Amino acid sequence: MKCAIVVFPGSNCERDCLYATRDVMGWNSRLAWHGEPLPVDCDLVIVPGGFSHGDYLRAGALAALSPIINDIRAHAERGGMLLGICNGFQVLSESGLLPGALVVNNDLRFHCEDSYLRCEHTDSPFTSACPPMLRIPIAHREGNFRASDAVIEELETEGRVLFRYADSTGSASPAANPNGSINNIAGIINRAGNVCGMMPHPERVCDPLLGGTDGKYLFESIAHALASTGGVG
Amino acid sequence: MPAWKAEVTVTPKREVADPQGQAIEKALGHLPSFSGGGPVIKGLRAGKVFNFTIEAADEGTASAAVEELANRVLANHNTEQFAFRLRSDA
Repeated sequence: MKCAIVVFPGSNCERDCLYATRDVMGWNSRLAWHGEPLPVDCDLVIVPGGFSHGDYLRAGALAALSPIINDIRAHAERGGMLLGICNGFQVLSESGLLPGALVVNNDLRFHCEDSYLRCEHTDSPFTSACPPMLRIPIAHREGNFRASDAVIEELETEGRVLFRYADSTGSASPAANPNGSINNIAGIINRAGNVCGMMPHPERVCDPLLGGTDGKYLFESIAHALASTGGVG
Repeated sequence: MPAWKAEVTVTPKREVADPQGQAIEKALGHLPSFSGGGPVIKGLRAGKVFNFTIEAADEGTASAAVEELANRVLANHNTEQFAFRLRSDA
């Protein structure tokens, strides 16, 4: 199981991702600097959280122009699994690998708090091992998911919303929405089913010492998916 | 090569919420001249302006290049719209 974690100037969650995937999950994970080619033999590529390029222009916009994005796109096109977390989600949406955009939170505040997520279904390589509810922290100012009505309709009818902000009972109510995202959307998947973007940080809750282990369900799902397909290479 | 001064304005699309613009509009109500029967500001939208010089063989080429830059980089077509103008830098 080979995993590359892409590092842009300003990324700051790459070591958390390394800890979760290498030390907790036992994978062969390494950091991949954006100025160098992406390792060609990865099963999984993670674009981690942070403030790539200082969030200049728009969060993720400048990283989306980095040459390594072409390698990441090629990895996704040959079926490789790709996970964008927080700023990584912003990078993937800015690069067109995922639809929609993440704009500033409705209340203009940076939200750093636990969020309850309702896992919408387990019929995806990122959620197959997930329980119906997860508690995973968010930490962002630009996490307000927006897309055209047509795109939202497509995501909803095709079952491509994987996670929704909810309260502890599982109700995805307006009160449980921390940032104003349409339909409380916290995480989505591409049509092919191998690219996932989510604002919450599963890598931060993979060790009881860090306050929770719900993030492991996501990485265990990925492990199951890769074990059943033998990975992509 | 001839050069032009370009100005690209990027603003949120009309149907997209602009919490920053709303916050600015609300704050304007605290200015004495905008309170209690004074002028009323409505529909304030916050955006960005980019100014630069572009050298190109002719104005058509310059205009097409600025449009591509605005479309692909400066504005996010999901949530933003743009307008631009060129003026001769002679």
